[in-house]
Amino acid sequence: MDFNEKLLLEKARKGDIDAFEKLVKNHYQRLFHFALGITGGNDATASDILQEALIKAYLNIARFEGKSSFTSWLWRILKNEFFNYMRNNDLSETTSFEDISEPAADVLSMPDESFFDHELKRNLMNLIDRMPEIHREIIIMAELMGMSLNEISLYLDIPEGSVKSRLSRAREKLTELVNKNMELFA
Amino acid sequence: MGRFKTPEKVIENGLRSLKIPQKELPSDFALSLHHKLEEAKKDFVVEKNYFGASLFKHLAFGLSFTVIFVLGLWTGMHYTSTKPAILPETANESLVTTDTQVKTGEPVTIKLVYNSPKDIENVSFAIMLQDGLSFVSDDESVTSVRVLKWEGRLQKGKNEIPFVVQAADTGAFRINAIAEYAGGKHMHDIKLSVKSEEKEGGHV
Repeated sequence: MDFNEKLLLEKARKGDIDAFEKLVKNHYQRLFHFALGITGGNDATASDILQEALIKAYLNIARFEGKSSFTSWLWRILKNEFFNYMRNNDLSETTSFEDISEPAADVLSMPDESFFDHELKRNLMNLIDRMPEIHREIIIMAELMGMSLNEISLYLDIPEGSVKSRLSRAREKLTELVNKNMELFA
Repeated sequence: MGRFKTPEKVIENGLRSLKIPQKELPSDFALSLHHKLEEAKKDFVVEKNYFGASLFKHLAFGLSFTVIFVLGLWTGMHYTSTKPAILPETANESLVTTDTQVKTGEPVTIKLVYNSPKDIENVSFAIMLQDGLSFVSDDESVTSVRVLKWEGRLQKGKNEIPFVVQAADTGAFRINAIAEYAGGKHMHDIKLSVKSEEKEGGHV
């Protein structure tokens, strides 16, 4: 965080809304993308959830002590709010990432192996949900949201090398899980 | 035989199909958020992190090493430090940068000295420590933060603002200090090199 951002943070910690907005506005689009995944692609709901999460971040900003980067702190607050929303609205059973992913343009013309229907997507998503949070989070960020290693490194406040190794380990774990449950993808 | 031959194929196709498509933020997002933040402001609680002029009675003093940075205000004179100060573009702004070396875990007292040609009210002070540095004090509310900010004043003549910091690890760290008032802003950019070997101390 540079000198000016530190001063903005100090103003935001006193309740300055303009300062808070300047600190977080560069994250809106990326966090909206994540909220879309949670809400099954519903723009209005994703927008509402993101705003509620940002308000929570604003009300808690006085407690940010600077032990981690502001970006990673913001990510943790919003991620918790998003997942709370999912739990409270029982979205895990009805609407989730698999519902908003791109449908196959023409099922009949595509090779079998490239067609991933709703049930298969749900099965894969359930396996991802069973992974330890540290691996689940990075799979979602890298694979479903398409975030770069550098971006993930900023949000998780870890070096890029650690992102790479964590992602590699997460992929191994997911492969193990799928291998043990191949009958779900028959 | 299953549709997908290997777990790798399942994952490759499955993750591709689960990708979240990008969409633009609603055009009224920022404005709507701003209104909601305005409503939420009544629930905002300011944590006890801000102090007035009595701040420094709680600061301990390091025994082994003192660094003094002197800043002349308004007139552009009296810049003394281990290096020549960067001269301001205007008489009402200034920046002093300096390097110094300390030992790991050794408290170091930094004393900001402002020579002011007159009394100045409503001065905003801020001291910001890079991650890895901490304030040393018998007051937990000081040691628990890395940014101190307060409102105060400068008297005509010499003003001294001491504070004590220490570093837990070796490395290069920065401290930024700023004093801002109507018509003027004066900054210090202090670089601390923290070593584990014995280093010669001294005064600026």
